Amino acid sequence: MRSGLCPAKAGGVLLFVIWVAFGGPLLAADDFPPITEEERQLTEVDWDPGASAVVLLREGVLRFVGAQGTKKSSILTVRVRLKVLTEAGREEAGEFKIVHNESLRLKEFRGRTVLPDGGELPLSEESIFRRRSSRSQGMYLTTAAFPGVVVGAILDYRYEIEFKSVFHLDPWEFQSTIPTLRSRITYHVPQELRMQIWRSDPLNAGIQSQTDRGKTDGVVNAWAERLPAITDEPYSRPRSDFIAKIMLVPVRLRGVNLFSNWSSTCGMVRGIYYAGAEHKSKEAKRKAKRLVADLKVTAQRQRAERLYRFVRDRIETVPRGGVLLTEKQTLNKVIKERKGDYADKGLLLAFMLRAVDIPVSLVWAANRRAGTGDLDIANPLWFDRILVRLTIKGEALVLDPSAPELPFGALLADYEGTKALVCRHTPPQVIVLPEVSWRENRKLAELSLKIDDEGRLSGTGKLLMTGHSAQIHFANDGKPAESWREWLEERMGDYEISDVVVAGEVDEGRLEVQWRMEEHLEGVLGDEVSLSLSRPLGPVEQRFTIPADERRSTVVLDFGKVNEVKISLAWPPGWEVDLTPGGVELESQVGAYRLAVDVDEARRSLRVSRRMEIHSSHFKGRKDYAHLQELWSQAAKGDAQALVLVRH
Amino acid sequence: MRKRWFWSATNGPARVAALLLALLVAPTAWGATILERTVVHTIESGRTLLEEVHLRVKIDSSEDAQRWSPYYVALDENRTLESAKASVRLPDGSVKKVGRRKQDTLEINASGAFHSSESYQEIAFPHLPVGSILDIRTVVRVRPYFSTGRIALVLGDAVASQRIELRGAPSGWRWTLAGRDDRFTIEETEDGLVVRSRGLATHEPPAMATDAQRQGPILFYGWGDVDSWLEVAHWYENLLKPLARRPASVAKMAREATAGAEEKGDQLVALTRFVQEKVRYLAVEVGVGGYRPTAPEETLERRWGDCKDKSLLLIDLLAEAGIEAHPALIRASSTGSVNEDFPDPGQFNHLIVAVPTEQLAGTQLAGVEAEDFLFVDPTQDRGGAAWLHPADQDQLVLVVRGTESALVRTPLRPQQEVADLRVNLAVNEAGGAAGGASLELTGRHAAAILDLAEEATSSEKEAALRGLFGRLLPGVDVGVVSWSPVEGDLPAISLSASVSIDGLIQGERGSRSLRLPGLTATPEARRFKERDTAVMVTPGRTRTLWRLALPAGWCLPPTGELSTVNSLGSYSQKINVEGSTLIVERVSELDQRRVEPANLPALQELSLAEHRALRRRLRLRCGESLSRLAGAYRKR
Repeated sequence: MRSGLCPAKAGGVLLFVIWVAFGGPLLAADDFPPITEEERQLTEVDWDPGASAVVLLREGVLRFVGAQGTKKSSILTVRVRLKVLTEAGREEAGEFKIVHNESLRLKEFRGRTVLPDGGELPLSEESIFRRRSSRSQGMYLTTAAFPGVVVGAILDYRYEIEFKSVFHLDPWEFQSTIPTLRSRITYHVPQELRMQIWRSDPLNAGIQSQTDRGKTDGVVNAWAERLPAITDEPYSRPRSDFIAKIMLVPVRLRGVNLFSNWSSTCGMVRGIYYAGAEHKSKEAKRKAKRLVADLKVTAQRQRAERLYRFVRDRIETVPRGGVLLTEKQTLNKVIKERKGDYADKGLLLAFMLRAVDIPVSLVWAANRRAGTGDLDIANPLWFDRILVRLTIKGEALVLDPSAPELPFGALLADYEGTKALVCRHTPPQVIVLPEVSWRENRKLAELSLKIDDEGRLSGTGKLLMTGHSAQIHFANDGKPAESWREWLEERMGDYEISDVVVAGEVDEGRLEVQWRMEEHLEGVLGDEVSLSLSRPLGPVEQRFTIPADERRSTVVLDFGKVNEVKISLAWPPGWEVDLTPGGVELESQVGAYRLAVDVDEARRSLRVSRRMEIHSSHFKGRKDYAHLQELWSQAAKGDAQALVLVRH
Repeated sequence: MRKRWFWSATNGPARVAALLLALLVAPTAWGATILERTVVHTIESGRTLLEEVHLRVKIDSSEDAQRWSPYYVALDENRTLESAKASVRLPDGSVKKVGRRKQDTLEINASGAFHSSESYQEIAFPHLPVGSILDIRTVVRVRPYFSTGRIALVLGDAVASQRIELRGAPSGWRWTLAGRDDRFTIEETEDGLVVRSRGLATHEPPAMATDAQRQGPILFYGWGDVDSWLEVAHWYENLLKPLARRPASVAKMAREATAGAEEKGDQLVALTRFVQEKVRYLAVEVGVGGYRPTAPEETLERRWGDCKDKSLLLIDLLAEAGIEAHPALIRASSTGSVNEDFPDPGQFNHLIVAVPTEQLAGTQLAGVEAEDFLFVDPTQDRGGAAWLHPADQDQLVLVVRGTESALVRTPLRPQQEVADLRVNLAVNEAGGAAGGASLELTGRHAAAILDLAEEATSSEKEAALRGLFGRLLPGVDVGVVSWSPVEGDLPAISLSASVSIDGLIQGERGSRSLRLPGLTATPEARRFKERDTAVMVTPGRTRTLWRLALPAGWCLPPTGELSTVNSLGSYSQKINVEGSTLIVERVSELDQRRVEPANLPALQELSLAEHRALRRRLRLRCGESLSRLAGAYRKR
């Protein structure tokens, strides 16, 4: 449909996902501080030219429960003032959305629009909408549409959140997708609570802070000014990795260790969450023993593999991240319902392995696409998955039972090479998850083609995939033959694909597809044949379009790999090669591209070999970036060439 | 299904909603077997409708399990759930009921509105091994906003046995089966009808399908007085009656917005531009508010609204300027249209404005001379009154105008949808080439790019342009890029880049050749071959102009023109030489949106001409005739 014309707005920078509840009366709009002359005059952001809108002020005050002014709850007060600078900014700034639930509450929410002429339009109750997005989970969505949003308008809003806890492990972010003039957070911490200050400022936005120890509360102030917008770069780490932010981590309360180090954090999570789940686990234990009953005790690998496959394949994965369990979750329940999230499945596998006397450790892991945590801070929310580590006959293995496409001992590419935490009774340990070589992630396409008397190309094809190159296809193979036929027709372009045969199992770690192919009659010219040298794995297009000197961040690709196409072609008498592409050979530290054509006129046949290697998933620095640009440029040029035969 | 008065979107928090919508209305990769499907709609006292659904579904793969669980029941302010019972028979024969604890009510805006009253009952089954059989029984009571209903006769999955029944229809009721086919046995009863079928295969619409082909046959039924398009218009007028019209604030704004504009045409342009640009689009749909607009005064004050809010405001503003205008109900779709045979407001999904052209005589606005109405879409934020988005074009539209209300057709304006690629290069002795390329766009593509450009940073825009030229000209090195909106009546943008292409011309003297990529207007013929149903295409014009300054002494191809013209449009390729400059111009025009089966040979003719010309290499051989080029058009 016409999303280009009538899109509902994404909420842009105002799409704060805050776990709050909406309630309380709307207050009069005249509570907002007066607009300053500087704010009124501002029409452009000199530190981020061309901005469509600007956050003039984003200010938060978080009083942890026990601090002055609180009773039984922590209170976060947020005040935001922003200004619309262009027509596009109207769309970006005019709507507000909050996702919230019942355990955290919003005490007040109000807003207004100040028009360029100074006129004021309050955010009326009719323009604030509340929906219960899930009755069973007590989730809500509250939205608001600001009135009179025109270029030059200033939007004010504020809200107050209450939550009955000292745990607030979401950082205060000083930046967003539009530039910020000022952002400030003040924490009021009761004396019995010790906090560790954590900050991250990867782009040197300039966070400043001041700590005061008052008579009753400790006060931490942090602020930053004139901050540029944080925008995405293609093939990069997530935006959140670049945002300047601060967080106060509760490390000790009345003599009790909280998130002071990984030992206490792991201990807390094990005690509060895992112990309860494992307490009700008889069925899981029984199931584990039954599953391996026919295997010798010494056959540890076979026993581990069987239990791994059971949890991977027979327990449906609920795609919910995190290492904490949902309320009242038990392993018996996971077994009974045959479904569980990443934490449930990781915990279940570990428990079942232990139940058959295979020692294991839990590993907390983080998907790199969700942002990089600082493991110097013992925050369990850095992680989204529980993996299981074990050693069998001296071989260290890490298992992920939540991805049905993974063979025993393999990890998803997004976890490979990331820092993870072994969460155990003995001191927890930060490890780096293993990464397979790019050579193992392979696609090899072999086409055997001939030209018939009508000038039509036909033949057979075979595609062999291993490693991640195979796993990504196991992930969505409802009707493998049909899916591959569609994929091949899309990638081969001018050919009708038939007789597709797919072979390979997840546990083999390889996938093979074979097919027949025939050029569509409509495309046949009769006296001329052009053959693409890269299909079905190409052609490559230049993807690194930002000039090297403007690239700010590390390039992050899915995984290192090698893609290879081999074509053999035969033709009948009366035809000849009219155009042979030039060979290409490029190799650098980031990868390689090679294209070679070997023509045997006497036998009326030729062979094409085209190979592209990418040697890693991460590339740092401008030098690597320039090499990537060159690799893709040469590959695009090589792939754009055609081999042409004509009837003479 | 909930009425949609706006277009789907991809707003962040609605990702789940988008998924849900996909499950509800546009599923693919069907595989399960519906063993039994019974749908009974009972009209109760002419006021309410009881929708009873019973499904027995066999799960044939893990993908089926994911598609069928959770199962969603669409609800709304006027659609309340009476009961929802579900159970599953597992392959081992055991039966598990899905209790209330496994059901949830989700108040989410699946259709993309900023806020709406729609909600969904979610029924989550436990783990469903292959071979499980689901049993789902739901009852929904509906208080319809107008006295019509519909039932889809096919779902995506194969159906072993199906019974669709309508009961309680009062005298004078009516029905029609859109997409009638012999797979269905229809039996009229005393108070309704029964449609039976067995062994329905998986529904897989072809490529470039119409909305009707995608949806499959639908039973439309209606009762009561609304049985003509005039009555539908009357129904809508009644819906507008409670709204305060032409308040003082609107009159004041009309005066301000038209200050200095003397002619009616100029005033219309000014007021349209005001509503398009100064009132931002935002859809809030609560109950009948999905159909009834907000009062113009409120829309004007808050400066936001959806299509019907913006249209009604524009109508009132125009009235203050002395310009008569009317609401026009339309189905905005690039691939669908209203079923003319069954008057039903539920077929529309959009509201625009119809301005009788008799009062605009002498103005420069497009279509004013030739057409009875000028149609204006105030949700477009580009193009003003001169441009109508293609999804609004060639559509049946109900102009709501009292006793003169009528279903009329909006114009088709392919000439406004233009893509013009020009590549101007100097070729070196090695066959490489360098110079500039530009792409001028008008119409929907221009509007879409202008929207993106507004939100993107300079760096993002630059990267996007490099990518665009990289795709248009495979193997190109893209240098400096630039973009600029083009002022005028239509959305238009000019994109340009300095480019170089290694090995554009390959081969040695006497056997040099090149393949010149370009824009296309027609779909490839293989996409609609052996088709016996209508095909939806995208009308418009494309032009690709290559100017290649060749090194001195190089052979040049013969000049000439090859062209194909038929009832659907035309394709031509002209080869000219100016000095040592080779000029190749390709122009393609497609003038229809819906190509009926009888016209598919004409579409194939254009497609083959265009795509074969693109595929064939141009040879720089001294003295060669055009005969080789002519081979491109040889029919096989």
